[in-house]
Parts: sequence; C-alpha cells; structure tokens
Amino acid sequence: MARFLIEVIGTLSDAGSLFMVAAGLTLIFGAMRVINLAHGSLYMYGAFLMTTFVGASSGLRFWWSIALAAVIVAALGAVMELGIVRFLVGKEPLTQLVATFALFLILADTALHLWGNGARTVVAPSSVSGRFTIAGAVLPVYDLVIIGVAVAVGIGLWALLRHTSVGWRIRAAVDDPEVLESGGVNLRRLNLGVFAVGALLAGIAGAVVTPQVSVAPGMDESIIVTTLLVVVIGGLGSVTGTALAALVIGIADTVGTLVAPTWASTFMYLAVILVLVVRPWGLLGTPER
Amino acid sequence: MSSPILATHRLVRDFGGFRAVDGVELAIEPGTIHALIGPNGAGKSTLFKLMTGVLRPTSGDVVLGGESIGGKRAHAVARRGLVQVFQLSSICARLTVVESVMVGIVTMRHRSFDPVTLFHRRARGEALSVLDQVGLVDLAEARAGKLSHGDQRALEIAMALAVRPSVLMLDEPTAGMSPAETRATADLIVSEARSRNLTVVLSEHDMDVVFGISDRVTVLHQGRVIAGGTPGEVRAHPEVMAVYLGQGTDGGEVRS
Amino acid sequence: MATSFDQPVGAGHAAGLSDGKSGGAGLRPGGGSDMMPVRRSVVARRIGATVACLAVVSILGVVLPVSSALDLEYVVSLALFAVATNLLLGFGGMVSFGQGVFYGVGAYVVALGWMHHVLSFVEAMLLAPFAGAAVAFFLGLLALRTRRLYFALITLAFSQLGYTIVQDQSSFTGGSNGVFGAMLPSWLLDPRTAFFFVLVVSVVAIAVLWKVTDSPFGLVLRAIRDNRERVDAMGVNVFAHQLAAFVISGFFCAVAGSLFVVYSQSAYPALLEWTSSGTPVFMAVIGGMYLFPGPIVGAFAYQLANTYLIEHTQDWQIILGVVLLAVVLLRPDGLTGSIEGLRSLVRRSGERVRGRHRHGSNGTGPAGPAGGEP
Ligand SMILES: Nc1ncnc2c1ncn2[C@@H]1O[C@H](COP(=O)(O)OP(=O)(O)O)[C@@H](O)[C@H]1O
Ligand SMILES: [Mg+2]
Repeated sequence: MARFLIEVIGTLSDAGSLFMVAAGLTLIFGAMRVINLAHGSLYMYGAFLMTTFVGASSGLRFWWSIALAAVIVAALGAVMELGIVRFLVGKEPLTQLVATFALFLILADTALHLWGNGARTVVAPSSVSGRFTIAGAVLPVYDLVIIGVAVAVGIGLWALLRHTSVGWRIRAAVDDPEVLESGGVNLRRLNLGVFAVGALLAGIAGAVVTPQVSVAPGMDESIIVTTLLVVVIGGLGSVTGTALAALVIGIADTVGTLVAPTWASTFMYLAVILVLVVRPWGLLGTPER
Repeated sequence: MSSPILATHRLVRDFGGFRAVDGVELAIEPGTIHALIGPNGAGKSTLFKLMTGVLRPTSGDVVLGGESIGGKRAHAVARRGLVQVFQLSSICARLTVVESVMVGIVTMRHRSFDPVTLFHRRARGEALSVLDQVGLVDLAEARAGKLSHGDQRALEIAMALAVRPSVLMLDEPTAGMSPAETRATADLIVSEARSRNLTVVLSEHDMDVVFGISDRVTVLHQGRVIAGGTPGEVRAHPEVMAVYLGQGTDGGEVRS
Repeated sequence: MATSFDQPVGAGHAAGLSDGKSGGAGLRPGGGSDMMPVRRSVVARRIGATVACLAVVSILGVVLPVSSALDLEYVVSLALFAVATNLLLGFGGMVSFGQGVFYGVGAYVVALGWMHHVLSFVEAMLLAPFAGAAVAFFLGLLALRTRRLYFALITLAFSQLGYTIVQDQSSFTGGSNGVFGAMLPSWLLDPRTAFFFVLVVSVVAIAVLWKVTDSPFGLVLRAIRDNRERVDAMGVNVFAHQLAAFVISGFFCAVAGSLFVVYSQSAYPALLEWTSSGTPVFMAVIGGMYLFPGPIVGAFAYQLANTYLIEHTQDWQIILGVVLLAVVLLRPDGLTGSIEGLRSLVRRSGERVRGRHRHGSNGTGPAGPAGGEP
C-alpha cells in the first residue's frame, strides 16, 4: 500500500509537469495550426531564468521567481510569434518543423552563452522541501506542489476555454478561422495572445520543476520529444486529450520501470505508436482537414 | 433496352445526422450522356463521390457492369473503368501538363510500379495525343499549376481520358468557364463520348449544356431523385419546374 | 577552400537537369526536326556535368591530406543519405523524421556483425540494406496509416524508439557507448581505398535512386505528392506506392549507414536519434528538395559548413538556425531551386522572342521526361 501510494504520487507529479508543457503546445496548435519544436526551449528558459532569479536565497523569493520567469518566457514567446511564427500559419508541416527547429537551435546556443553548460540546481523553500508520511508512505512535499500547480493550470485553461470570450474565440478559430475573421475578430492579436499563453505555460512548468531536476543544456531536447508524443497521442489541439495522454505516458513509464527497467522507455514509445496506429489522429483529436 | 452499365440501388449517405443522399436509384445506359441536375446542395457531388468510391455509402450499393463496387476504394473503382473529374479543380501542380497525363497512361498500363524500363518515354507520345484531343498540346511542357482555370479543367478531363475509362463522371465540368470555354468543353464531351463509345455522367448548372448534349437527365432534390427521362420529358415535368427550373435561367424559360 | 566543392557539383547538376525539362536558355527548339539533336545534347550535358563533378571529387580524394579526404568521404555518404531521404520528402511528399532508424540499422548490422563474430564485413555490407528495407516495410505499414504532420511525428517516435532500444539493450548493442573497433577488412584499411570504396558505392546507389525517380514509379510518386485524391481517383494505389517508396528509401538509408561504419569504424545510438533523422531533411531543404541533385548540394553545403564552422566558432547552431530560417521562409525551393528559378527567368525573356514560333509538338516533344524536375 505504501509502495503503491509512492508510485501514484510520483506518477501524478511527472504527468503534471508533462501536462503543463504539453498543454501550451497543444493550445498553440489548436488555435494556430502551427507545431512548435522550440516549445521545449521555452521550458528550458523557464528553468534557467528560475536559477538566475532564485540565486542562493530561498523563501518567498522562490515563488516570485516562478512568476517572473514565466512572464519573461511569455514575453519571449510573444517576440518569437511576432518575428517568425506568424509567418508559419497556414504553411506546410515541413516548413513549420524546419523553421521551429531552427528556433530550437538558435535558442539552445543562446542559452549556452547566457548560462554556460554546467548543471544548476534550485533548492525549494523549506516549507515545501521536506517529506511527509501518510499511510506509512514517505512522500516528497514538492510532488504535491507540482500536482497542485498542474491542476490549477488545468482548471485555469478549462475556465479560459469554456467561460471567457477569448476562449470562445480560440475554440472558434479551431473550427473555422475564416468565419472568425469575417466576424471582426483580430486573428493576429488572438494568435499572439495564444502563443504567449502557451509559452507562459512552458515557462511555469520549467520554473516549477527546477527543485527536482538538474537544470542543464539538453533539457530542451529531452522535454520536446516527450511533449510531442503526449500532444500527438492526446490528439493535436485537444487540452483534455493532452491531460489524458500525460497520464498514459506517466503510467506507462512507471509500470515499465517497475516491470522491466531496461524496456521502460521502449514501452513508452511502443504505447505511442500503438495509439497512433489504432487512432491516427490521437485519442481525442479530430482528423486534419 | 440494354442493361445499364452503371446503376445505384437505394444509395444513402449521412453526414452526422444529415442525409445528403437519400435512397437514390439510378440506371445509366451504356454509350449515353447522362446529366444530373439539381439546385446547390442537392447532393450531386456526394452522389458522384459515392459512385466512384471516394466516399463510402452509409447503405445501398453501386453496380458497374454487373459487378458490385459499393464500398470499394476509389483506386479500385477507377481500375474497373469508372473515373471521376472533381467539381473543384484538382491537379498535380508541380507536374508538367504532359506528365500529368502520363500518370494516367502508366497507371492504365499497370506500369506504375516499373522502376526500370523506359516505358514512360513511349507513354509520352500517347499523352501528347490525348492532349491534342483536348487542345492542350501547345502547353504540354507548362507546369500544371500555372495554367488558367479553363485549361486546368481541360487537363483534368485529359488526365481522366488517359486511363481509358468506360464511364467518365464529370462534376460541373464547365463551372467558372467563359461562354467560349463552355462551348468548347461541351463539344469535347460530345465528341469523346461518340468517338470512344464512352458513357458520360455529368452534373451541370448550365441548362444550355444540359439540354444541348444529354441523352438522359435525372433531377436530384434534397438527396432524392424527383424526376428522370429524356431532356424533353424532364423539362415538361411540373415538379422540376417548381423546385429547380422555375428559379433557373431566364425567368423560367428553358432554352435548348 | 572547403566550400568550393559544392559549387561545381551544385551548379553542374542543376544546370544539366534543368535543361531536361523544357530546353535550357541556350536551346531554341523551333520545331520537330531538330528535337532529337537537342535531346541528345541535353543528355550529353547532364552526363558531362556529372562526370566532371565525379572527376573533381575523385582527384580531391587523392590529392587532399588524409584528414580532409576523410571529411569528403563522410560528405559523400551523407549525400546518399540525403538523396535517399528526399525520395520521401521531395518526391513522395512524406515528411519523415525517422530515416535515422534505417541509417542506424545499416550501421549496426555491420558493427554488431563484427562484434558478435557472426558476419564477415562483406556479408554485413550486403545484408545491411535488406535489413533496412525490412524494418522500413514494417514501420511503413504502421506510419502510412497517418498523414502529414502525424506522419512526421510518428516517424519521429520511431527514431526515438530505435534510439532507446539500442541504448537500453546494452548487452547486445554495447549500449550508449556504442560499438568501436577494428571492424574493417585489411583491404579497406588504406584511407584512400576506403575513400574510393565509399565513393563508388554512393555513386552507384545515387544512380539507382535517380533511375527510380526517372521512371514511371517516380512520376506517379510525384503525382501523389501533389494531389493524392486526384491520383487515387485515376486508379493509383496510393498506399502501395508510398510503402514502396518508404522501403526503397529505407534500403538506401541503410546503405549510407553501413558506409558510416567504413568511415568511422563505429556505431552508436545517436545515429538513430531524431536529430540525426533531421539532418538529411535539413540537407534536402537547404539544397532544394524538388530537384534530384538538391540534397547532394545540400549535403556538401551543410556538412562542409559544419566542419569548417565548428573549428572557428562556437555558434555553429545559431548560424545553421538562421540559414534554415532564411531558406525555409524566403527560398523554399532551396539552393538548386533558386538557380532553377533564375534560369527560368532567363528562359521566359527568351520565350517572348520566340513566342510566335510555338506551334507545339508533333509526337516527341522537345525534352525527355523531367526526372530531375519533380
Ligand atoms: N463532407 C461533408 N460533411 C458534411 N456535410 C457535407 C459534406 N459534403 C457535403 N455535405 C452536405 O451534403 C449536401 C449535399 O452537398 P453536395 O453533394 O456537395 O451538393 P451539390 O453538389 O448538389 O451542390 C450539402 O448540404 C452539403 O452541405
Ligand atoms: Mg457539387
């Protein structure tokens, strides 16, 4: 029982951070039909900015640093949208993939200049860095923080999409951009906003996970692959599907590691391929027009 | 009366809860030009796509030359001689005009999996003669994507003719054409049909074309067949006058 | 010095092939009678340009210092990798981010055959392409259920799957360290011999791929790329053609992978990774994926720039990124496409002069099938 609880909380925490990154990517795709390979770079920038802001101190500054890092990443996202990404709307998948991979390369080298290639760590404030015991299981408190933030992000997104006029516009854009445009919605501003929000989510995720990972170059590459897979099996553009897929991937990873550690990653990729073979448009996706 | 070369039996297609084609019975006689008319949204394009396997029927069947082809995929249907030209212009933009037609020829000759021979150099000559028939031979080396709309439509007919179909389905072949282009296309359809003993099924908005060249006319309305027969019979049909021709050309007068 | 390689190769090929399409700027087909000579001269020029490029590369392989000759050897094998990938990308319209899998399979068949003492070098080299083709067949069956972006992403997942299998099954594959060692037979130990071995295999393989693109199959593949619904409605089994292209591409990517072992005497998991799969895609995009020699030009430009820049700057990735952005946003047809565009500009101004002579063709047409112009 204790063991089970530990695995469940661990899985939920992994799935939570994955969901936050992936939700941003799928939101952007849903509204703009653009796939962004540099999304993982935004996540990495969130983490690196976090290491810069937190510095050696801990305490209240930790929370402010998360917010600040996320906002700066959102601003970076806005700049990317204005400079490059808006020219990718409506282009072939190959064009989008190559152009955003180019952004990935540029951001990776720039990060190397800014933060060097050493690994950095962030210590969480003492209030959330310990462990607690429940039903005989000893669990890291910070796992609960990640799960909490992920749930908050999920609810926030849901509220945004279902209950605000911006959300309505985003959902309408998914269905038919032309109708939206003729209805007087400024698509360019909407796209800019969506891209910034997507970047914000990546930034939050990158900043929040810092106490649990070592922050180093290469983070961008490893996260983007997993994120792409989550988004694809969830169904590109579906936030709910992304949450589901993040859980599936998290569970596949945990079970795989328990059953056959050397095959764990293999299982995960096999699961992804299997989902796509059975449902070529992902779990909750709709066929591309 | 000979047996039909192409027929549908209680053909139905739903989109979500909407029934676009509703129990259509059609019989096309071999060697005839058969026009399908009806207002926008009547289900003509959907019916065409059901017959050529581009869309799957919800229920019902399509029979080509005595063989059931309902639910077969488009390429399998085309192999059996039923070839369609879509309503919306649909070409291979980066190929040249002559290459586009060669695709049909290598396909019809079962040479498209041939990675070694020089067959396509011979196919070229055949392609040029097809282009000659549709009047595009001068543009043989132009990129298909650079052609005018009318020339693209002609190219599409050439691509379809290249596979030597027994039944050619043309969905609004003259849409968007100038009067001169329309006349040329109508002449082309008639001459191909007569010289090759080709069966042609077309949907058409231009009533001059419909009543000028067709042997048979079927009227579709809200997914159902409401009338059918010779052009003269259809023109005299009261229901047709009401739902379709009444709102049509020249204040209800239909010229032929 | 280094970048001068791609000039003769690129310009030569592009010039030779573009003439095949509609008579180059220098040719003025006025009627039927002089068409055959025109065609023959086009073919002659194409062959001439190819032979000239091969001669230049061969001479460089002899006269360059060994380390530079090795760089060149690597570029030649990458050119094959890029051309094989472009069969899917530029000719088939299938964006695959998974060709590293077949490259890696080719390399590992040779390396593991040596490590486990089960295959001689020659046996392994002969088996590698068929292993690549077999893997491509099964992965193609799965991947071709998806389209467009989903196809790109499922092939990317294949890459990562291959990567993790090779990395995690270390008892069989040597794991993340890869396989290193003296795996070449004695007759290939001399670097000049190895250079010509790689050159000959690559050139033969590229020639076969050219034949494939310049065949009825290649034509139908390009038609599918442009408009699959249309071609489907003409009776073409789109799935079967795409699968065949996937298998052929896997076959030749594996040849390129086996040549990597000749070059480096090693194989390691990163060969299968998605970034490795991306490399031939970027080469094709830079060189121009709609002309047959585009990926060759791209491979030379990309790899030589890489080799040169890494020595002189830390910002190789920034430069590559900017170049990729510039190409994909401003020159989507790549280097060879831009040259072709210039030529057609010249041609058009020529056409205005001879416009009234255009009384068309009588059977043969001015040019052969445009194998080089997808
Ligand atoms: N793919 C589709 N999904 C949903 N509805 C469709 C689809 N295709 C056609 N329809 C609907 O079916 C009806 C018939 O359309 P169509 O066959 O194109 O008519 P026509 O060609 O006679 O103008 C229309 O109401 C149209 O909106
Ligand atoms: Mg229609």
